[in-house]
Amino acid sequence: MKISAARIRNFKLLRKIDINFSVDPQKPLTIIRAENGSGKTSTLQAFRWAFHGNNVLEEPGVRLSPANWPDGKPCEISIEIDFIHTATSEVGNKRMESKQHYMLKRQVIERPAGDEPNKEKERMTLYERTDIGDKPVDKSIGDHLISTIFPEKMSDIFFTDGDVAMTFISRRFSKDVRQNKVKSAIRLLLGVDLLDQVDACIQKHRVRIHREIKSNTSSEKLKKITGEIEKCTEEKNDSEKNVATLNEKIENMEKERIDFEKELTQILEEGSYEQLARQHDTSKELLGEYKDEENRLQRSHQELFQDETLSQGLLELKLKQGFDYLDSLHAKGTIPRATVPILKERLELKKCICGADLSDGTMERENVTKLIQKHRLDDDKIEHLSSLYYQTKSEMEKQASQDTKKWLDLYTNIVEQRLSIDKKIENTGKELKSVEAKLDKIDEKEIQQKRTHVKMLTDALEQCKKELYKEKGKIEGIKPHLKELDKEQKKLRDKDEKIFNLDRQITAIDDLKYVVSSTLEEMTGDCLKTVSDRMNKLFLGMIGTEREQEDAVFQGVEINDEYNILVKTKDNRTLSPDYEVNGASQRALTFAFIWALTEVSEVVAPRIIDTPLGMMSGSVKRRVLEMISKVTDEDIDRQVILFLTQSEISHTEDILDDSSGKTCTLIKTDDYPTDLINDPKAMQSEVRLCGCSHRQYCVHCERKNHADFKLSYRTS
Amino acid sequence: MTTSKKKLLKVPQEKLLKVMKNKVKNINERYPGYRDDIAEALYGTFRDEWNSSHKSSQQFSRRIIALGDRLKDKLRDTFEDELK
Repeated sequence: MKISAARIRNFKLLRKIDINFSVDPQKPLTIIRAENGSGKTSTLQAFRWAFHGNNVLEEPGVRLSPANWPDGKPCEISIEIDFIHTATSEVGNKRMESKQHYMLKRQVIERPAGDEPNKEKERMTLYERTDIGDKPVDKSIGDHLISTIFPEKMSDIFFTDGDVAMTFISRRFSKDVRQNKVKSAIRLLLGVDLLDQVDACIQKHRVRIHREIKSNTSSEKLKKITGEIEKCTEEKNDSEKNVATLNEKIENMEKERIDFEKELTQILEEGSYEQLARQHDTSKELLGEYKDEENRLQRSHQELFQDETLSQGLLELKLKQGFDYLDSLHAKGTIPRATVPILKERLELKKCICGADLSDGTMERENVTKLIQKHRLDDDKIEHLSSLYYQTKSEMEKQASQDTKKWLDLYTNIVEQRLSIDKKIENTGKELKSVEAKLDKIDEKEIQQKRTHVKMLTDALEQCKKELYKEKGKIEGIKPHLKELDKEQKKLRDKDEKIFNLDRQITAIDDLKYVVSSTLEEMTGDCLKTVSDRMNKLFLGMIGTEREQEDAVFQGVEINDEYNILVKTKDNRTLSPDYEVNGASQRALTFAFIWALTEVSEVVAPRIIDTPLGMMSGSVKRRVLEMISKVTDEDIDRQVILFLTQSEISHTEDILDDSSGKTCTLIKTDDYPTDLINDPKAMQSEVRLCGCSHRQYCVHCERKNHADFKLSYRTS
Repeated sequence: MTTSKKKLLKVPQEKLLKVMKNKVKNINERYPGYRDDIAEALYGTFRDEWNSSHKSSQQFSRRIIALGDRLKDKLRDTFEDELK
């Protein structure tokens, strides 16, 4: 199927856009050049809507009429798509092809009121284009044709948005999402789901026929054997159903577990509760210690101010005056004075210094005693002054020279210590507050609940896997027994005329079953392997890595049994596509997968890709484009429609020259004057189309950044 | 209406149809054209399942009965031919 033209009316900002597409087998590309925000996505949406209606829109109820359409005024949104369908048939051993031209028209009327579209019923009509005019195709045939040549189920494969396509491999999406996406695409395009459905249908009818045999035959033995077959088949079917249910259950539980684990990880991104609680306790303890130390230092600081040394230091000037006075007394001989002890000694010796007798009762002794008493009164003062002179002065002099310095050192030390501890208290306090804030964010109860749930799911998964294993074992056990019973039944059926008709039906149904089972086996075996190999070849070709190259990073890519796309290195390591494979290679891998799958499954439809070469440059970009546009012998109907920005086009112009049959450019009038050079003289915001190719510009599409590219001017 | 349903008796998975057709070659040609009848029955069933037709099971039953009848008639013809 190839799209030859599209006419879009009033779809968002696409008020009137007519696009022609290349249907030339040698030039399979159609290039729609459009900068970001110029209507690429709307055009892509318009195509999807035209084929599949509201179901494929991100929000099915969304307004489709232009945003500035007057409220209440009916707006007819319509898209017409002309396409050519190549029908193949075989006459004898000859493959015959016949081309039929169709026009698909989807329309709807909206009476918008703000965001409310107020839609009428959507209508889709398929017309067959003939020499005598367009003829409407019967609705059921039209629906079947669209579902066959452009199936909604395969929409994601054929309408590829560069970013969305990454869901097949990017680690930004959970393993589960990626796996499901890859699995669904493979099963859908290789027809595995379809085969499973048909197989189930065959099974169901086989059971029905056996029941009929049992009720129609007169042979007791045949009845018994058929009953046994019925029982075994039911058991097998039940087990198969259980296997399917268990698989689904396991899949759902795994999904749920992944979601819970992700939520837990998000909550615990701040740190684990226990870890934070420990951190909180440590900080609190440290803060306590620092505060104790601060109190101790404060006390020492206070004590330092009570120290005598400080008083001495502070009174140094006054004391100096006192010491000078004492010095003057000493110099005068006023101090020290020791008359009393000398006179007392003389009294004890009973002899005066002058030689007079101081014996008891003598006058001289009485005089000396009186003298001692008199001196005793004067000497109290003198003695005090002497003591001050000899003791305090010397100490004070010593203190002044040493202790004052020591006090100052102590003071400096304590102040430094206090500053340091204050800083520590401040930092630890901040840390504590931050930990407390984090702890506040964590709901421990919620964490506990989630952990319990994850554990419960893990246990339940384990249980389900055990059951699954058991059920599979049961099926394997029934199979040979059933085969034996079938053989025996066949012999008995042949002998029973009454069930001749049913016997023939069983024969036919067994033949159908054989064909379906063996096809299923080949599609999931050899065909899947072929997809994997082809994807590998295309990928290595695009990224330019040959296995033999010494410096090559990639050994190859493959699809494993679990439907995961794996990237292998030369040393047989599996790379994470998200952070170990660059953006360009990721896109190349996505395209390689889609291309390989569509090639092997031989599902043919136009591939419409938005921004395929984003994040790519140099030779990889060229090779990807070459792969996309390459015409191979197997391609009977390849058509590729690319939405490209001028930057993506840059350095690939020669490939586009060779492979593109049609090119055009989309312009959004709102881009004037920011990006567009010439005034589009638009009455309203809209997207317009001009016929400029990837190498041209004109008065309508000329942009400020065009100077960066070697474009030539096209006269309209 | 110029488009006939006969032309559209297909599903988009061409490879599946090719493999299926090859597998049909492995079954006994119980009467001339039996394999084609089997292939056609499968094409139809695939198409019904692909379109999620609510009459799918009913249609399949009808096909099986038709195949059984044809098999019975053809084999009877062969048997009678042999008797002659």
